[in-house]
Amino acid sequence: MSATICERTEELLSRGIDGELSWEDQKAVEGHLPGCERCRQTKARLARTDRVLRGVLEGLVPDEGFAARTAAAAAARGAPGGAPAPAVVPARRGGVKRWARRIAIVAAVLAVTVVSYFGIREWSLRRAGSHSPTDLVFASPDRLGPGLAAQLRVLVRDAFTLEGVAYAEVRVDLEDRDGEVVETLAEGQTDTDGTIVADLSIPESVPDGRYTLVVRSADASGEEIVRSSVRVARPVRVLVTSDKPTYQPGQTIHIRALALRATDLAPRAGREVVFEVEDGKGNKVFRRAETASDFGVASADLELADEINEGRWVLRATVDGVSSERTVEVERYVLPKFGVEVGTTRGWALVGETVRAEIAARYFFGKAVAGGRYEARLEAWSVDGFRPVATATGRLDAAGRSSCELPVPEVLHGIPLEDGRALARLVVDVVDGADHRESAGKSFPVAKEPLVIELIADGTAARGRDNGFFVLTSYPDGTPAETTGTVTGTHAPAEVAFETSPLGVAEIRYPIDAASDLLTLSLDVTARDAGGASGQARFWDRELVRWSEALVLRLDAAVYRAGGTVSADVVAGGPGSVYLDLVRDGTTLFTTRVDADANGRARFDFDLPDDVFGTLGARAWRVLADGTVVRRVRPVVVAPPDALEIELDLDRDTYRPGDEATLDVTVRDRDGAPRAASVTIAAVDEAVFARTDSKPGLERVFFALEEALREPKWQIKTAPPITPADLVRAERPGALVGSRWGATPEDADAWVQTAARAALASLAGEISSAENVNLRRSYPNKLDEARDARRDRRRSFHKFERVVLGIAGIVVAIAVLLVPWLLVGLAALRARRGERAFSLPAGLGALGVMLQCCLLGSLLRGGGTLAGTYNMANDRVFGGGAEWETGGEGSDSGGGDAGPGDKSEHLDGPGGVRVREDFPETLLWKPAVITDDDGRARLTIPLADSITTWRVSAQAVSRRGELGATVGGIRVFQDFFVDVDAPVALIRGDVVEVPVAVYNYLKEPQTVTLTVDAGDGLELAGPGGGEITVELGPEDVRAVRIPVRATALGAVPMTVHAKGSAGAADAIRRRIRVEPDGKPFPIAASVPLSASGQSRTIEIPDAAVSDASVLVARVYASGFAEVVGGMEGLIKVPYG
Amino acid sequence: MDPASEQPELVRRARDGDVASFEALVRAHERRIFCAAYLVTGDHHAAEDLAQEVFMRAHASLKSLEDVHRFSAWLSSIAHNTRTDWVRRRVARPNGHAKPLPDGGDADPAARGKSPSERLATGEARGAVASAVTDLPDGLRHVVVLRYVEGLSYVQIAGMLDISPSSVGERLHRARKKLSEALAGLAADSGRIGGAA
Repeated sequence: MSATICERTEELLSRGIDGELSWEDQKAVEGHLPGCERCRQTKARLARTDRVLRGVLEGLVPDEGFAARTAAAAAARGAPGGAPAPAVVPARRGGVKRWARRIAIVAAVLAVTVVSYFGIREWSLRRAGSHSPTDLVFASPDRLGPGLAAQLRVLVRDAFTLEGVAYAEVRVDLEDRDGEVVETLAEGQTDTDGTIVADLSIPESVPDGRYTLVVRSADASGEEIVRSSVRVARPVRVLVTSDKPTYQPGQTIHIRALALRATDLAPRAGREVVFEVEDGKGNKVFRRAETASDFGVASADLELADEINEGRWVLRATVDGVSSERTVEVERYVLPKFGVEVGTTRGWALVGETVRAEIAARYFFGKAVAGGRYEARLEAWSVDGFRPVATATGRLDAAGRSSCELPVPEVLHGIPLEDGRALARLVVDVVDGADHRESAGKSFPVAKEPLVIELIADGTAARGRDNGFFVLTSYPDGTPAETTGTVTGTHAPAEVAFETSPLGVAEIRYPIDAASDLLTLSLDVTARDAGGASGQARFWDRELVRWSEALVLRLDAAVYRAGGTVSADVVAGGPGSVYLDLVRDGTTLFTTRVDADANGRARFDFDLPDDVFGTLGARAWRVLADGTVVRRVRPVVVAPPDALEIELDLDRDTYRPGDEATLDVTVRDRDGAPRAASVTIAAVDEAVFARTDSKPGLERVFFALEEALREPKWQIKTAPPITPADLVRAERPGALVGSRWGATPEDADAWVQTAARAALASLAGEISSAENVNLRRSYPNKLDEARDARRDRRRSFHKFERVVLGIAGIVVAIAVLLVPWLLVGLAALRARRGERAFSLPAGLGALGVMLQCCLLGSLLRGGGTLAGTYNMANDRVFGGGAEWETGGEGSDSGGGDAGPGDKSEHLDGPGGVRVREDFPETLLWKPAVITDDDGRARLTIPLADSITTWRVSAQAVSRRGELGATVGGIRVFQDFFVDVDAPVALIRGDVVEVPVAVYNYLKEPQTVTLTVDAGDGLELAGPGGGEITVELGPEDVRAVRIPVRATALGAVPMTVHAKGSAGAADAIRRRIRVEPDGKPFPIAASVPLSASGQSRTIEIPDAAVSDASVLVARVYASGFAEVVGGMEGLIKVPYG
Repeated sequence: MDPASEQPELVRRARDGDVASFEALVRAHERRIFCAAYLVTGDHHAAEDLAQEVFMRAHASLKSLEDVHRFSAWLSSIAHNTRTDWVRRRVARPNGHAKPLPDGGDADPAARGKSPSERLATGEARGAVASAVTDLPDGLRHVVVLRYVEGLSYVQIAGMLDISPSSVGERLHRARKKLSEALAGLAADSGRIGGAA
């Protein structure tokens, strides 16, 4: 029998004794008892107890005479009364007293709570207020990593006197998130100055992640601990390169990625490199995972279809979560025939002067565009674009050069982009003998004055001392100007002369009388260079405050070479210790200290290690008397070592089309020792780069300047060493707000911001570094003590309150969750006992339980929604990842991309002349040519039929991560040749005169007979049939126009044979793209794909242009994919 | 005990100051009031004092009784309140009250005229029961007294204590369990005690 039934039965037995059993209960008891010995015993026991009780009570009687005594006593007290009814039960039951007691208990609990609350609070405050008398100061690195050299300087000082504590024990531990010590990084004693410099080297065994750097100091006065969060990472750098910057539909994009460890550039061999390509609309059209070679190199090829989204395509490679992108243009174009260069004598102009333009034009196969006509236009930027203001025309000389002079107007629009200067552009069009027209342009600023003057306060100006200022002079294009000049106060009469350095910088000290009542300082600056150019400017300083906080850090150059020496001048507000750290990626490489002299001057010289390059930060910092730490950061750009040198040797200087070239690649290290390396070699038609310039040397710049610099924050140019106008990444310098002549101080604000930023940057000025080193201090200094202690108290108080509130919250939450169930359970228990189950608490409990159930239900439904979203996200991922397009027609227009391998000899022309018909843009792509131990590799390159110079670019990386890059050229040329200047496309039915150019570089004149074979799809429209005769002089280029009519669609061939009277001959076959002469009508049909495949019939209308219908099948992984792809393209600047 | 029909008349007369009638009323109710007091005090004399106080209070407020037919219930509630007061007083002055010792000997009138062994047994049983009942928590003791002494039904007790009838049953059950534990030794030879009763 179950215990609960027996308990229930016991109670019923008890009721039975009192005769209070219902009939049902009676039956239940009778049914239960025969089978339950325990309950039978209970029944007997209860009955016995009942009998004992009754027996005892029956024998109880009061003494004889009780009634009489009581009546007498009552009578003696008086007549029966009625007032204080003793039956006033509530009062008698002590309700008031009970409530009073309850209230007293609650009050007591409250009192205890409050007292203990304030007690604990006071205790914790006292505890927070107590401190050890030492103070730990260190600059914590953000990032650490194996192989990442880092130093940590810890200063232990007396919290009151701020003097260093000598011989204090310092330990630096690396703790993981659980507080376990992973590694003790350093241990030692402070020197007599109270500092210790610890080398933090992270062992390889420490995995990447977040850690805590725990710095402990212990001395006689006790222990001090400061913690600082730090990240351990082995960052990867990824570089994506492609063979060329522009592509046409139908060509192949060759992508190559180089993965190096960021810290020491060691190749990340064996890592998975994921290549992705997004098309012009942001759809991901390509994804492939490759494994990096021993040299960290991986490559992938993407063959472009004919029907694609043109525009800016993004090539992306991802290694270990680090991505790098490169943008290429995909569009249809015709390659230029020759390149034009235009130059001016200097990079800027003055209003009213004459600009001299130097023009040079040269064919890509190396010959000058002799006798070409040119038109040079000077255009000035106005509100709605460039407008021509002057033109000049002329002819190029035999060397393809010429020059002309163009007058600049007196009045031009100044624009903010150029700091108020005007922007002008020189555009030159050149037309050669074959009527090819190519152009080039160059833009430059036009200024009113030849000198640009900036004035930068070295700190904030103050009365009663010589205030430091930097004067910067430059020419309008940013080139530094070496000048002399004066600074004059407009209110105070002091005049100070200056002379700027070759970097265009001078430092002056301008005195301000202590008794001066100046509120603002106004300075006029005039400057003049050796050539007599002059300029002037006026500057205001808004406020005159303390000078003592100043700290200026000046470096002697902006760009250093690894292994060189950096000299830094420090100007502090007064004598004292100045610390200098050299920081890379948030990690201190090394650190040094120097004492400033009485004038606050100090000089540092330190040698850069030869394995350190990239963007470094030089940080000077100084602890002021009041404990404030002042810091200045300057970028130090260290160029990479020329670790590898690549030599490209060809077996001949010049080749003929179709020849084989042998290319020897030799890789040596800096000492000339041969190196095994992985060399990426690409040979691309030089004409491609004439469209957009992209030099493979970018690779080195990339690794040196990092991605941060690749975005246009500043540019580092080799000559002149630095261009202030280009250096724009800076923060507000702090002190000086000035203006130039004619501008109001208000207007000047924005201008000075820009100018000061640029100037400071050129000075290696006040620039906040991307990676901040957090200054950690264990205890506030004496002067700030009160404030900081207050703050600490407040903080600890808040902490305590948070704990109390948190516990209260948890209790309330548990109560809210559990109490309804308890109430309902109680009610159920009562119901089972046959008692009144429904009561107000039970009802409330039931309500609570229902509410909880509702909440739970809605939560579960919410989870369902989430799951749905997740699926959508899945669709999106796959949708974005797959889209293929297939073109219905094959084409090879203009410069097709047929590989050199599939070339066949066509000797079908008259006299067995070889027909040139293979014109790829990329001749060669070898992503990983491995040189042997002698550093050598040999490539045999079958040359295509193009007559041009192939730009051969080579980038090498050794197993140690040493880098090198070079560019060479393969010149392909023949003395006599013919070319068809095929347009991008023809419309079927059009009659078009196709220019055919004949180049004669022979010494004698020729009569050339051209035979045109229109082939399928083209027919000659001219009267003379297919044969034309052209007279050419020596070194002459002529064009004839051959009228043709396109009859078929697609890429139709046009073959031209040329035979000169001197016996020279050439033949060429170009394909011309012919498009239908109608309006395109898209018919769209969507078909869900299934495993068994789907078929769909699409009706082509009878009226459709024959042969012109194209079937384009796009496959999306989901209906959302296209939308999502489009959205990505919209959101993603600048592609959207 | 007087027939119930005579009581209203006695009450009326007592209310009008007739001492003899009041004495008759006391006599009619003295036993149950005394027994109840005994179960609370556990002492014969204290029980008599308490019972007397009940009647004194009743006499003092007799005029507030409107329905003379409800005298018995009225008296019960006065008795209940007086007992409660007594218990509170005792709790308030614990030193003023010694725990009742098992009664025995000549002081117990119920033992008179019985053989010494009988008297001893009766005295023992009475002391044990008084001790067990006084040890009960207030809530349980009240229902025991009201049930055993006043002979009230569950519904009546519930009305008096302002609890539900099922609670009365539950409390009685709990009280019985405690009592049967406390009186286990006595109950073992209940046959004799029962015989004595």
